[in-house]
Amino acid sequence: MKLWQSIRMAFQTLLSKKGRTFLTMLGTTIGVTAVIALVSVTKAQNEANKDLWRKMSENMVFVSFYSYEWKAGATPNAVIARDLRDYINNDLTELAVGITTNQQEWGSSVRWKDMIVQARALFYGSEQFSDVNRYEIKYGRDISVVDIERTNPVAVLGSLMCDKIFSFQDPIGETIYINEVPFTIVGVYHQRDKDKPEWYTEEQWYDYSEDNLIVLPYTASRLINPNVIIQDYKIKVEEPDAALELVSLLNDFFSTVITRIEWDKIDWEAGIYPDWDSETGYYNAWTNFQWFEEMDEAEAAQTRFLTLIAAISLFVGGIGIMNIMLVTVTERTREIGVRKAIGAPRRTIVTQFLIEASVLSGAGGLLGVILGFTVTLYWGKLQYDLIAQPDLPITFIAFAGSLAMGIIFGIYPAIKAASLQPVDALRTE
Amino acid sequence: MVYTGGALIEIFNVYKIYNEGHESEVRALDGVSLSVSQGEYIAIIGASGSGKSTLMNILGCLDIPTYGEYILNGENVCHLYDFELARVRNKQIGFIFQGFNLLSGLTAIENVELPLIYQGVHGAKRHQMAMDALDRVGLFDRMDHKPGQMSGGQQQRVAIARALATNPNIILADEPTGNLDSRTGEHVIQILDQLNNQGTTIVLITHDPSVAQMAKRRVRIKDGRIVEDTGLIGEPSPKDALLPEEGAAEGGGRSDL
Ligand SMILES: Nc1ncnc2c1ncn2[C@@H]1O[C@H](COP(=O)(O)OP(=O)(O)OP(=O)(O)O)[C@@H](O)[C@H]1O
Ligand SMILES: [Mg+2]
Repeated sequence: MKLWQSIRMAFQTLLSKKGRTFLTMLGTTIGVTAVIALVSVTKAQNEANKDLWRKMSENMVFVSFYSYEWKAGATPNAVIARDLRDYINNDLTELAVGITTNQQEWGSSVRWKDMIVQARALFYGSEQFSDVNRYEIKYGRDISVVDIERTNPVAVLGSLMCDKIFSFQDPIGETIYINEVPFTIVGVYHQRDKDKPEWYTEEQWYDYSEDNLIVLPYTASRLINPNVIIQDYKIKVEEPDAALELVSLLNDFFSTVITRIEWDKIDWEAGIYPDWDSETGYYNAWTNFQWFEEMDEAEAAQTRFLTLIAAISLFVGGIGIMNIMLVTVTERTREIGVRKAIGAPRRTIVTQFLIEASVLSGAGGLLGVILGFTVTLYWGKLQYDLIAQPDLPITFIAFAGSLAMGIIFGIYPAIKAASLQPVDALRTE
Repeated sequence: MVYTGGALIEIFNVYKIYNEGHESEVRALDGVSLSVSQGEYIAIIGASGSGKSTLMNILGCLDIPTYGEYILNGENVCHLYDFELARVRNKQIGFIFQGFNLLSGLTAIENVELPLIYQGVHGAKRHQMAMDALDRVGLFDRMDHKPGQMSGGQQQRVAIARALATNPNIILADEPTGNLDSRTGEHVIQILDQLNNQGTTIVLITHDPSVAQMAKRRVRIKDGRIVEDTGLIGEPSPKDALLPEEGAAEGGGRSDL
């Protein structure tokens, strides 16, 4: 007997008892729906998190170093900084957009004439500050290499900062005072952040907007505060994928000069710290993309857990199928007797009931796939406002699992049916 | 053991004993030997509980004797595996039951096709053979009806069509007219008669004397033993003389099942 014929026959039989068939399928359907929806939405959510992370990271690699330059044999901070800048700008032009110092002071007061305003951030930047941080010059000029070399007292303002101080006046050439040290304004950046959202008051927005900033050449830090030591740097890479590569290149770069802080060996809770007795000082280079591995691991654990739950519900569904198949065999003893009498071998009877069980579970699984896709799309949209793609591997696994469940739990009833003696089967009413 | 050879069905000293050795032991067949040649038409008669159906089931390979041998068409079928028995039932034997035993979910033609499916006949050929069989029982126009939409007589004719669709050597009928009124029963018997004329061996169980009369040979069973066989060599069988008396006895025994 051909397979498709058996399948067609199984469908007919199942369709003749619609209510019962539907209820039996339900167990499998719910299991498959649940696993597809849960896993797909979780994945989509994690993907969205990563995207956000990626966006927030803005392809940044961070470097901090602090040299014990008073010790014999230690390279001075300034030399390391120069070498690093040359390395990035000369050797890694393919990989990196630029490098800037990442030193900042929050909430600095800026005075112009008798007006005092708060800058959200005061940056000591390099000539590549605007490239790395996506600012663009609107008026005047940017910080230049010369400004840095000569420690020129110049400043560039963010658009909000500029609006705040100079409502109707050309700011270029004006003098502002920070800690009563005069700086000449040479440029103004374009607005980079969004417009003020409605729910912020003006005052609040000054504390949040990234356009409320003032940038000075990093060497000018010593004009304001001679004790400032520049130790934080920020490098922007062209592609997110390049971030991890750059970190490993930087590790190579620093390895002969200065000791790496082994953050991964630190266990704050257990009080285990690395040795702080380096002869040279320490550096660290990192990127937010490093956390992706851990995010992936967490996601895999989550998926395993969800799959386990789904497996349990499939198992329960399978028991339901076995139960109903046993009832079916009892009900159809006479039919089995007739089939055997007219020449059905045991194998055919086994196949028939196995097919019936797997059509039952397969149809349940298929319905589950459809529902799972629907739920994934709607749930993803409603809950997270993201387009959650149904996860194909898990869909396949769930469907195959439901089919397998039908076959596994169909075996016992099928063998029971096939082992009936024709006489006995025909004698039952 | 020496087989007589030539006969289509040969059983030797067959016993069917239920609960052997217990107090409740039942000897449904108690040492039965029977030989049926190709083309015979045999009626098996006897009181209710005498073992007729048991004998029929063994002849049809639906049941296995407790003791004894069964040679069907030259093949000893007592020691066959399940799938071999299935093949024998499928190819050699057609069954007709008192209760029709059609599959209620299938149409007439699908019921008739069933044994052909198990035989591995495919597609148009199978359909054609099934239609031919339905045609022979005069039900060509009812082939798409389900059993529930047909009268008892029509259902039994579908069952006959199913039995003869594979062109079996033997048709075994266990009280085929038992659930039918006398006129429809006659129709069914006519069909069996025709089949026998075309060479099919027919073994028929009946309680109805007039039906038994149609048969060329009658075997009477009592308490699991053959007590009379009009076909045995050397035993004169005045069939008309035998029947009236027995017919009355059968009529009486009929009601207890
Ligand atoms: N599975 C069984 N277990 C025990 N005894 C059985 C079993 N099947 C049949 N019998 C007994 O075997 C005997 C023969 O039964 P069988 O069905 O062959 O009778 P029968 O001649 O066909 O009767 P009827 O004319 O009423 O159909 C009966 O006494 C019956 O009770
Ligand atoms: Mg009987």
